[in-house]
Order: sequence, then C-alpha cells, then structure tokens
Amino acid sequence: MSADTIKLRLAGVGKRFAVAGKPDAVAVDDFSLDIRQGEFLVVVGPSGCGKTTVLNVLAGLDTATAGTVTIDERPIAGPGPDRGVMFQDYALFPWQTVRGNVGFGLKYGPAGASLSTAARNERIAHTIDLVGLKGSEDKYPHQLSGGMRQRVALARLIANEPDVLLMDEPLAALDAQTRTILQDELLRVWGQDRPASERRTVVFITHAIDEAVFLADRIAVMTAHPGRLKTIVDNPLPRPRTDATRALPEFQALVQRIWSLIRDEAYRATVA
Amino acid sequence: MSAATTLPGSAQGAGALRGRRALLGAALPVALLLLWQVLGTLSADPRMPLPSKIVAAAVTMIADGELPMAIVQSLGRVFAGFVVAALLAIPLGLAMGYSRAVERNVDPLVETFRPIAAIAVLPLAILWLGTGTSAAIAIVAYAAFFPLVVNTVAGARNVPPTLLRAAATMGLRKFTTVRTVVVPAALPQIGVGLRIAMGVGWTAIVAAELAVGAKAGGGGSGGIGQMMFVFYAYSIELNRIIVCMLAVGLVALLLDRILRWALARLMPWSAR
Repeated sequence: MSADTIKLRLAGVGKRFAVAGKPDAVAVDDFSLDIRQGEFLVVVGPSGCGKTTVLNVLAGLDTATAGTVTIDERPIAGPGPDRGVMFQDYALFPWQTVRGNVGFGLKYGPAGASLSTAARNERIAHTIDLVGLKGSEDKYPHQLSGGMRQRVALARLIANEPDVLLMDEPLAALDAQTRTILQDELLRVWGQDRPASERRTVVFITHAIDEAVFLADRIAVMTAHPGRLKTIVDNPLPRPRTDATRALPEFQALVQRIWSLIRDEAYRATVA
Repeated sequence: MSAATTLPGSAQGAGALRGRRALLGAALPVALLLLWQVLGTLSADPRMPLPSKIVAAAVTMIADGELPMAIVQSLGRVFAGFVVAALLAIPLGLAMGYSRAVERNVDPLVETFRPIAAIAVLPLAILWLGTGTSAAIAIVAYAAFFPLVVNTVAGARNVPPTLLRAAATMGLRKFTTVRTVVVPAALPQIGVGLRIAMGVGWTAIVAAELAVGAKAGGGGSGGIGQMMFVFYAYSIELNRIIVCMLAVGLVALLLDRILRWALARLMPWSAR
C-alpha cells in the first residue's frame, strides 16, 4: 500500500444532539478530513470543540447526523476490531488482572483468533513488557496508580494490533516524566523506525500542543461552537524523533504557531 | 487492626476495654434471661417455656440426632430450590437487564407475581405436587426467584457503558460480551440477590413445612418446619418449638456467612 492511500475519510460530517425545548446542539459541523494510511494524525483544539465526537464517529460508537465516514472506502457502520480505541477513562475491566485486561481482546475478540494459545500469551507478555508493567501482571486495576492504569489501557490497545489506533487524550492523566516516556514508547510501537508503509494509522486527541508537535505527522486544529476544522498543519520535523527533537528551535516555533491558532479561543473557553 | 487506632503501648488497655464493653453488651440479655427464668418458675403453668428447659431440650434434640436430621432435610430442600431459582432467575435477569425489549415484556409479569407471597402459592403447590419434597422445593424456588431476578436486572443494567463500548471496539460478539463483561460487572449485585434469596428461601421452607405438616397430619415429609408442627399440634412442647426457632435463626446466619465467604472468593478484585 502506498503511503498516500486514504485510510479514513470524513466528508462533511456533522453531529447534532437533540436538546429538549431548544434548538439542536451542534457538536461538530461540516468536518472533512482525509487520514492517510500509516499517518500519525493529532487533533488539537479547545475543550468542547468536538474532538471526542469526531473520534467516536470514527470508532463507530457515535453516528454522524450528516456527511459520510469511511474506512478503506467502506462506510463505518459501527465499532469493529479494525479500529482499536483507547478511552479517556481507560475502560479497564476491574475483574481482570493486568494480564487479563491486556489479553482481553485476544482471548474473547477476533484479534487473537488466528493465534495459538502460546503465541497469544507470548504477545501479551511482550506487550506488558513494552509498556513497562512487567512484575504487575497479576495485579487488579484498583491496585494500580493512574499512570499504570493508563499503561494497561495502552497495552490492551497495542496487543490487539488494530489497523487504526484511536486515542482520546490517552496520556492526559500522567505526570510529566511518565508522559514523556510513553510518548517515546508510543512512537516506537507505531513504528517510527520502520518505513512508512509498515506503520499503523493513528488518530490521537490531545490538548497539549507540545505533545501534538512531538508525535504528529499532521496536526488538525479545531475550533469550538460549533466544532469545526480550522486548519491542518503539516509537521516537517524529521523522524525518528527523540529527546533532541524537543530542543530544536523548529519544535518550539511550531508549538508557538499552533498555540497562536487556538489561543484566542482557548482564552474565551476558559473565561466563559 | 483496631489496635492501630489506639495509642502505642495501650494494647493491653484496649483489650481490657473491649472485654468490659463485651460484658456490658451481654448484661442486658443475661438479665432478661434471668428475669424470664425467675418469673417462669414462679408461674404455676407447667408448659411455660424456661431458658433452662430450652437448653436441656436442645441438648436432647441434638444428642438423639432429631434436630440435625430435620435441619439437614430442610437444608437439602432449600439448596435444591435455590439452585432451581438461580438457574431460572439469573439468565432471565441478565436478558432483562441487557435488553430493553426483553425487560419491557417480562417485567410486568414479574412485578405482578412478586408481591404474591410464597405461602400464598402453597395451596396450588400442594394440590399439584403433593405434600412431599417437590412441593417444598417449588415453594423455595418461587420465593428465591424474585429477589434474584430483581437484583440481577439491576446489576446487568448498571454495567458501566464505557466497558460495553470497549468490548464493542474489540469486536466481541453479543453473547461473549454478556458472558465476559455483563456477568462479571453484575456479579456483586447478583451476589446481593443470592444472599437475599437464600434468606427468603430458608424462611419459605419453614413456612411450607409447617403448612404441609398441617395438611399431612403429622405423618408428613419431615424437615424443621414439620418438626415444629408436631411439637405444636401433637405433643405441645413449647421448649422444643423455641429450640427449633433458634436453630432456624442460627442456620440462616451460618448460611449467609458461607455465602458471603464464597462470593468474596469468587470476586477477588472487589477485596479491600
């Protein structure tokens, strides 16, 4: 597959919610965006701009009230294992251990259907190792810190090896150090060391602009009320990106540029 | 554990305090028992039950195996009825809690029968099933069914939606989702239902055996309720009736403790 193949397409997507006794609330309006195969796309915007709605529509958890959404040119009709989701609240199963949570989709979903039990266990162990949870395999979610839970959620998403990874502020609850480490991990898992054709497609929501600049191939900037796509910023920073990347003047310049795009609205959203 | 809340070095003092509290707590019951014994002895009625006679009766009834036999017989019926109720109520409750359509159709029926006490169904049970064990099991099953259904429905309906969404994005089939997400999420509430059902079933068996005893005229089907009926209607032994009452209460307490222990073992993730 060429790197320019369109993986996900949002065309004129709108989402309205009925509000009793009032005109419909518009969460997202006329949103059009093509996401390329193997691309790391980050969506930023002020709170309430409909970022999560866009992600849920891609996941098939929400249906758009206008426009079309497709994956590989087929319309998205509902959730499916080709699009893994990492939820804002992690959505871990409290009755499963770390191992059970990470292996949940492999065991009960189609993701592990073609694998032998040994291969499945091997992948689970490998993924747990990857996110740095080795030694905590038998713990339950309530025994873990917020950062560790987030790692479990990340490991569960990765273990299923979906074509598309949809991530809703996955690192928001972490302290700065853990966050930096997991950003590096995420890029490695996504495949920044591999040729573009072997990478998975990622749609990643954040409100942290430096995170967006560090991770993204392109950054979609949204505005609120109603949620619209304001602009798409190409990110020319070279890969693989490392700690050195964060120190580049270009990195800071890009952060500043995106901040200037959403600053007015972010202030308005905060003051209002 | 509670020593941690007292000052260091005062463990002995805390122990003494606890001993004194226990003594104070026991003072009132002991005084009442003494009063009962004294007033009962003063009264001329030879049938007046007395604490001393009750203890003596209990010793004889346990020694000759009469009481343990009756309890085992009643327990067997409770267990059988309990299992029948669980096999019917838990799947039905899960279906009702998971699917609005099922609930809309079944709920009115359940709610119509729920207020009809098990004892009110007894005449039909005796006419159809006779005065033997099957009528007793049917009564227990009927009584235990309702608290189990109601609690299972509540548990299945309150599964966190984000967990169901997570399962959907991993491509789980509906039945697998019920088995691996709805059931474990509802398990604490089902456990509450099981405990209530066990208590209700035990209450129902005593009532049913009493009533069946009246119908069968002493030569009935056995069990603790039947035994109480014989002491009431034929030999008129009030002390023995009170022994049976105490036994019913103690067995119920024991059953609940066993069930709680088993449920805690079944749900290691909900441990403190």
